[in-house]
Amino acid sequence: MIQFSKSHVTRGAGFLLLSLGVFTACDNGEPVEPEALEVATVQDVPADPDAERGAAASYTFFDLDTGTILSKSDSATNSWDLAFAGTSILINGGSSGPGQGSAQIIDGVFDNITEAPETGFVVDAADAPAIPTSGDNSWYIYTGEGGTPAHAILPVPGKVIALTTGEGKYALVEIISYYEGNPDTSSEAFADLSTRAASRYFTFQYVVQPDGGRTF
Amino acid sequence: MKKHWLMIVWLMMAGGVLAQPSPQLSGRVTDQQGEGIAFAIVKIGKGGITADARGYFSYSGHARPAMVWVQALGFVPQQVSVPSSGELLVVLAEETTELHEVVVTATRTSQPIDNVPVPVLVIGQEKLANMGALRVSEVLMEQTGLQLTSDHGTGVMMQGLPSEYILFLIDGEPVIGRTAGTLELDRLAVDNIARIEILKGPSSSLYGSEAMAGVVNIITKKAGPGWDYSLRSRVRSFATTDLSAQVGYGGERLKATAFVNRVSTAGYDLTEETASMTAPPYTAYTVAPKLSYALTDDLSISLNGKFYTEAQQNVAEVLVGEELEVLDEAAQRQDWSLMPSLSWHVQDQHHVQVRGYLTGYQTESALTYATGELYEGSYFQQRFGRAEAQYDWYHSDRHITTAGLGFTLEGVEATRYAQVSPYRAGYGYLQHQWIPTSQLNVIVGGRFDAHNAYASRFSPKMALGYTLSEAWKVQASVSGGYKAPDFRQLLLDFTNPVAGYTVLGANLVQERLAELQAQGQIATVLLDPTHFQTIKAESSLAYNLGLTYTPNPNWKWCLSGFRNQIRNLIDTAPIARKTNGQNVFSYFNFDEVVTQGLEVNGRYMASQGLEVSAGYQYLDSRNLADLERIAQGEVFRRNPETNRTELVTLADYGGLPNRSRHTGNAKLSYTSRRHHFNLALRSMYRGAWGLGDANGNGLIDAASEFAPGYWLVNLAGQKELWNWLTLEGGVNNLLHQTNPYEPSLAGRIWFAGLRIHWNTSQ
Repeated sequence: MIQFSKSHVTRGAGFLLLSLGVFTACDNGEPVEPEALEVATVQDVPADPDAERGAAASYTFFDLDTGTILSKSDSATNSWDLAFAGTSILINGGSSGPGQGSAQIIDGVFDNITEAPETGFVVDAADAPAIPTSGDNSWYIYTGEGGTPAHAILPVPGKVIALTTGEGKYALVEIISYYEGNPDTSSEAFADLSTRAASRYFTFQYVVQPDGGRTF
Repeated sequence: MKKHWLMIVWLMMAGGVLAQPSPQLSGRVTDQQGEGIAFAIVKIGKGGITADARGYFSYSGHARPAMVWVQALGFVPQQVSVPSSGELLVVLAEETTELHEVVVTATRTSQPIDNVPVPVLVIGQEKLANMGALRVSEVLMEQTGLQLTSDHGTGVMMQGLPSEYILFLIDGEPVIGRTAGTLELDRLAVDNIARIEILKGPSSSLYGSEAMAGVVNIITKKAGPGWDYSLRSRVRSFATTDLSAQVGYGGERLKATAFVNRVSTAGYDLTEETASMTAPPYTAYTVAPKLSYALTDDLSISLNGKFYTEAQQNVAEVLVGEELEVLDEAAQRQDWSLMPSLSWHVQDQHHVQVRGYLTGYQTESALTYATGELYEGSYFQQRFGRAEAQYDWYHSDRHITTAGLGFTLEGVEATRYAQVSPYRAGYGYLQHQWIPTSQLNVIVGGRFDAHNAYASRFSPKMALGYTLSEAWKVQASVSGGYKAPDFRQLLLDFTNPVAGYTVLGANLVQERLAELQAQGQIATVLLDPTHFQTIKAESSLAYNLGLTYTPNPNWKWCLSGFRNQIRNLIDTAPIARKTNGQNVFSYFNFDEVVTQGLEVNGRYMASQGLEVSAGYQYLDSRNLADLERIAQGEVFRRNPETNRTELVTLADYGGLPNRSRHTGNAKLSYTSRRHHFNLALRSMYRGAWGLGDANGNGLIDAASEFAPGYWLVNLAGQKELWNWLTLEGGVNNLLHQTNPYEPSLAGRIWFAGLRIHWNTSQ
């Protein structure tokens, strides 16, 4: 099993300071402290890095509640929330799994999103994943021959995945990198295809609301 | 020219008759360097005498005059008080040609440049010759407010708009044959050009489509009096050789010239890591004959022609299956044109011109394996025909009316284009110039264009010029410009064989989409084709304001501002999703952009043949929809180092790609008439320009998305050994600048050459 790393920050800390400042200045009402949720960042979740041409995709199943990779045998349960293989990301619902998973793409800066939408969540369908890989709401762009850097898969900034987990809890996910070690994509080492870090390793940040509510 | 010549001969004879042994007045006429002016004319009362070849004159009339009037071709005439005794020394200042220059592009009638209240820049023959330029691109890139661009060919940007929005004319007729909108300016040789007129700001009110950023009119040389022969040969770095020959005859009624040019180069490669060359080797020939005949003093006919052929070789690396194959790439390009015309002056007040124009452009390219087997071949053929009549009515000194009517026929045939019958268009234009007082100059005009493939269009124009004082002049204009959808936007029928997406031109999208649906290739239709509107021309409304300050003949300052508001920019958008997961795209009218800026030009002409000038342009360009999205907080970027998302603010916005905010130039030229040499030192600056998105939002909003600016220094010198032989040499890009984002910068280029010129009337 390939190791991946995980780190935590407390969500809402900046927001809290700001609100306190405002309320002090206005001297009006009691400050309402939002409950600080934990934002986790996981690095290098493998997404079928050793894939062979023509072979069926081998998905990595990830549990957001525990922040761990589950074994493939858990794929038929509702304990996994996201599955990764190449650029394709599945949720545990619809054609992909037995859980209560559903998702949609929303625009915004991850740290500033305080509420998941009420409606608009869809489940995976055979040829239409809830997290699209093409079109306006694709989570990534492919830079192509003329891009800077060329032939790179880069997450589209401002695209945040709002989802319900396999167990039906609301969560927010933002993909940060598709390359091993979350490399600086403006570096020369990344621009050079011969020294570029291996692809098919996801770095992403996420937050889960354990109380079942939509606010973060 | 001819009249002057006759006058000189007449006055020489008169001077001979008047010569008497005891002069009342004698002296000399010289230029500011003390060189005698040959055959200068000294007018005394109603008569006059002519100086000799070294500028000496003597007058033997009844009495010593108190006042004389001295004039000579190419010098500013001067009235001189005669002292009661002694020799008279008269120093004449050289005429600065620009002050009396005549331009045709601004109003479609010949007018002194001071008489047209719109921004016009003229590059005369002397400047062209002194630069040592081979191709028109080299000339244009040295002008204030014009930026060199490389996009499927060498083009320029004017008022923040690229080549596809600039109309290029040769002797008033449009040059066709663009690739992705760019007209390759390296196709146009310099040696047969008399002058280039550059009209900035839209002039669709006279010229119709493409005259949105401005008009570049290349006026070719006319046959001089007598027989005229010239030969110019130059060699440059990268094994570039250029040879031009021109023969002309200008008789009483018949005028004829023939121009031939051959240029070839070994090209250069700035990207060693790839097999294909940055600038491939090519050889090109230009042949341009001109013929005109005056049937009577008022009626003349002419026929101009141009033929161009070019062959280019390169290699291309193509992924064939899993193998990277190096293929041979050969490309041919030809263009030709014929312009018959008739010009009839009816009394002094009426001028009728009837002009025909037939032109064609074709390219052919082939990628072949080393075995000779064809990998891919493509061709493009365009034909354009036009008939036009124009009538100018000079009611009086104060009113000039110009009216024109025309009809065009245009067709295209190409590998990736749908077959269609030729396009037809008709147009009419009307313009009135009114000069109510010596201070005020007003032009009002408009043009209506009707086309069978896109919406009709009216383009108005109004311009005002006002002379505040001898030194200060102001001019202002409001005008409309437009650019018709090009063939690609109307007719493209292309499916990418590797990626599988499809692009359909606006004229065939409904029909082809229905076909694809019938074939079961369409999964979802995103936009209902029955709701598609007829594609509109891209159009603009522009304001130009200029202020000129000429405190004395040596100094000239110009300050001008411009603003172009452009609507209905054409871009692609997906209209359907195919069953293979790829999209079908078509062309639509979308965005609104603004380009605006300021331009300052200053020039100082010292009396000793020294001229110093400098120019600067500040350019601001913006897409209004993008700014709106930023203001709404809907635009994000990825910090490429941390890969985290940030919100883009209005302060981050870097404008439209390829535009340099700052550009400028400084030039110094020195001409010694005594020692017959000339030096021209020019320096051009192009500031940083936006390359394209690198952080995932499609906009330019970070320092890493800009290409670095550069300085070019060019030096050219010419030395006339005898009046028939001139040697020249110099260096372009003295500082050896290269820029990975500007492939036309090849590094330092040396050149040397010679020019032989002979005229039988000399």
